[in-house]
Amino acid sequence: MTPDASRPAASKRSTLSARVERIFDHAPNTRSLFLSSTTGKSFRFVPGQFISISIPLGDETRSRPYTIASSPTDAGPFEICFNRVPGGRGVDWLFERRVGDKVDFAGPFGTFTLDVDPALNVELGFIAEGTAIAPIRPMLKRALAGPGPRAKMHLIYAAQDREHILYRNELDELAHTASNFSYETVIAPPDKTYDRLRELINARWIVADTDRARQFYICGVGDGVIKLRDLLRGSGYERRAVHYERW
Amino acid sequence: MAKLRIQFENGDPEKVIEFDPSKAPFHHDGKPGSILDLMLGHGIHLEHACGGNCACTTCHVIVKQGFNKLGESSEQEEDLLDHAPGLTPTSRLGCQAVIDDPNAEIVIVVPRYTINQVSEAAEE
Repeated sequence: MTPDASRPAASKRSTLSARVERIFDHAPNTRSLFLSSTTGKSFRFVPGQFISISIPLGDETRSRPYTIASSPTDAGPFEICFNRVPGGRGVDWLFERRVGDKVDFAGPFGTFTLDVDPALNVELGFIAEGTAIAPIRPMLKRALAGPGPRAKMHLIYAAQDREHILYRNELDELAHTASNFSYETVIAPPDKTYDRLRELINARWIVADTDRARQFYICGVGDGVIKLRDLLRGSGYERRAVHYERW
Repeated sequence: MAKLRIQFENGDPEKVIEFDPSKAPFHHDGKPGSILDLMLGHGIHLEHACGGNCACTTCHVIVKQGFNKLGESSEQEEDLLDHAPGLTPTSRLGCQAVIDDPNAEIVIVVPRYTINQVSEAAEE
């Protein structure tokens, strides 16, 4: 067989369709689309999973992942959240969608999901930056909704400025109503974000005590995520206690 | 020329790609010269829900021959493979397994079950 980059790969994926029900701009170049399945059935997923959207680019279709930012228990459409990135043709296409447009997708996919029973009383640490709060948000809601004894949970959330701290009111409300949940924000320029996160993680979860039973969920972009993973794993936390998704 | 022989657990006919690794990339998803890149560039479907970014396990393949000829796996790939259904000692993610040896002869099997277990277990 000979290479043919112009030829779309034979596709066997079964796609679903959704309609854009609502658009919400969190901040300049940061948007949520609220999607409802065109089959009329609710779309089932696990907090932390993503869908793979079919995006027409030129004469071919590419699939690109977008994490579901809403909870399976939320009524109505499900939400994806994304921001514009330089050269991101797929996300440009998403920004062009309007209410009523159809979006084809497959999924849900992904194994970055909350697999700790909150009733086990294992402390959970969540770390996110910018739109990478998307998988953490439904995980937090799930963890805080469970019955029984509540594990302590803390979120460290970084963004380049205040307006890019998404779901701020909701996080405030969760911290107010759930005594076992707290969060802090970090405002830092993109080239300093992971240095600041590293400092905070080190202070809170490494040098403060010898407890190494915590579980972590980290989501972000680039090698900084890997450095945070290595920091925690290198400090005595079990490999499988440090969950991460790096985009 | 390197050779990649692709067998499908679901019974689809075997495909063979002969290629020059120095010509990579062949498509635009996955690491250049990876099994995913090669297959897509030759019109052969391999699921890659995350876009070939090493963020899921849907491009899981089992290497039957030439495992040691592939580029080394990263810790991130190993972490993801932990979640792959039907994991074997010679499992790799197609988006990460690069063939750069021009004399390599690799044989892989694409598992029947290429959808994530968690996806299958989506809640009622």
